[in-house]
Amino acid sequence: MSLNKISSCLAALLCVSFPALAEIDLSGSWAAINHEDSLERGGGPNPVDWAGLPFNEAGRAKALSFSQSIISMPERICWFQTQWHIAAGPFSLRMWAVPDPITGKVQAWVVGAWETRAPMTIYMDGRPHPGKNAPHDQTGFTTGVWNGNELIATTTHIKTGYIRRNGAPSSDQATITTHFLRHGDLLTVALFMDDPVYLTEPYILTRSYNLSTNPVAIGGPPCIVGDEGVESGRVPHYLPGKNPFVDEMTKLYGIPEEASLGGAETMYPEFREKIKDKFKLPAKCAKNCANAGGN
Amino acid sequence: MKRILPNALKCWTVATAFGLVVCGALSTRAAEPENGELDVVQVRPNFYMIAGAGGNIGVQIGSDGVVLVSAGAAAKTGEVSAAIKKLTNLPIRYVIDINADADFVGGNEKLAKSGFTIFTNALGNNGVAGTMTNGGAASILAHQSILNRMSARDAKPSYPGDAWPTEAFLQNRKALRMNDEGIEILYQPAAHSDADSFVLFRRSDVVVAGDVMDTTRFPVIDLANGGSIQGEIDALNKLIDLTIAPTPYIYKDVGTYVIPGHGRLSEQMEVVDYRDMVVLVRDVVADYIKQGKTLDQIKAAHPALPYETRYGTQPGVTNGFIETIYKSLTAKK
Repeated sequence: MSLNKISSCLAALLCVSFPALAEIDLSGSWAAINHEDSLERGGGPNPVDWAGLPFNEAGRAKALSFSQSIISMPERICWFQTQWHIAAGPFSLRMWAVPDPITGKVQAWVVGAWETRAPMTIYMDGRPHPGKNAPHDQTGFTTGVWNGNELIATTTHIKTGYIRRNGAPSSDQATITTHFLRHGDLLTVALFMDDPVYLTEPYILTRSYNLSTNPVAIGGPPCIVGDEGVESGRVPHYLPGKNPFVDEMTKLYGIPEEASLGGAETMYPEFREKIKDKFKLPAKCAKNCANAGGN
Repeated sequence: MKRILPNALKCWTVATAFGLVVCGALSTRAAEPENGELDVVQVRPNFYMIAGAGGNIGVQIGSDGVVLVSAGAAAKTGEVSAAIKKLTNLPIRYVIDINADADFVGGNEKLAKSGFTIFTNALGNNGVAGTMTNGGAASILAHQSILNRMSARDAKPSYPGDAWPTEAFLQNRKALRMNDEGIEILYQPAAHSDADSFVLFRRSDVVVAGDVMDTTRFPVIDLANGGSIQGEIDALNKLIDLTIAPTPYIYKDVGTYVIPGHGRLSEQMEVVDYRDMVVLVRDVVADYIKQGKTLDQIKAAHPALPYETRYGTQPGVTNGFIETIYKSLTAKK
């Protein structure tokens, strides 16, 4: 390695060691821009629409066993989303810094809670993540570092959850890496889900927000468990081969099952070429058609 | 989407990754014990979980002394004793056993003898203490089923008499009060085996659950010693009933803590996840039995596939679980 290269690397390392020089202010209310992935952020995705998810076999099998009725189980009515819901949910963000009272240095950034997601506290003071036997709580445990003007937050110790609201699972062993990038009054948030239990590759979602003068709420209402018709102890699920929605995307949109069942291959453009002859354009769009007719 | 990074970003990414690796290694060392060392996790101000000594151990500390739930494996007794001494100088007064497996009762004798009986006081009373305990050691409290298993002539491993429970009870519920706290020992018939109990600490809001729940693997159900799949599900449902989720302010606080037999400290939702897993795999196996499939055909069909990458990574665990479900469901009534 030449002297110049060594010098460059040392310079880069020094920058990483002193990120405060590049910090930018992320505080404020950020209004969600929801036209991107609007179905997912709005009414919810179609059942068994897992195209673009890098499932392994276990992830696909777990998703196929999913019955929407489980959210009516008394034990799950007040279940919360993981921090992944920043990517998949519809809500806006409010962020603020928590300074050290003596030095004024930012100890943590907080992303306020939503109705179904706990707040994310991003510790900036270099503390380690808890050990493997520590509990996983609703917030997860998040630490952050600055990479230039980009805040990178790493969340571990999460509970089980979903990366898509139609049953695509995430495990308690997953790590969520959240990148916050500010460009003037625009905030881009990119989330990477690394889940060794259910995914073969990271799953990535981005979304954008506009700085707003309307304050975004920083918490949701309390949750009271009611009776939604699933008796305590019953576990709704579908047996293998019995999920009634497995061909839903084929019936609605002509999309072949091998695409809607997901897998890493379905994330890449080359896959469209592979399945183009199996795609049949339906005579009429029946659901979620925007301006193409139908509902 | 392929990740294609421009050169500048690559340089930053490499530098950042290097920095994180260096810092991460140091951080991890601070947060995690070295391989093979015990991991002492504070659960509440007066309550700890010791992991890494065989089965997880619950430690309640107060003015009366130390109440242990499970004694861990025999080989780890010295380390457990040293870990407790770092937490308090008070003596162990009770060891409460919650199953009869060696990784839970192996430390009974030594830990009890390192403690001090409750059957004495400032005036003496050594005669009673000697009669009721192993020469003034802490009491070993357990359901009768555990005493039966440990004292059986063909017990494997065999245990000396001083390792056996000194206070055995026959009821399904035994209650006591230590350290200003109500403690309930709740017998769970025919779950992981026929010798399981939960221990509920009412003020601390902690349940020590033993091997009915194991966050590291599928449940190991000991059919030969009275375990059953339905008993396992019943016990998990009971465990859910004993716990309280942190509603209505769901993210403001934690709920009841559950110390599983192995693995990490949990709350109600982890028990629900585990129960749901057991029910789902049971239902799939039952459906395959109904279709006339043999055990080998069922194993080949991977009925536990949705959970194999989470709970089935240890050798033989998945097939063992499927086999116990199959045998449990096909056993003649």
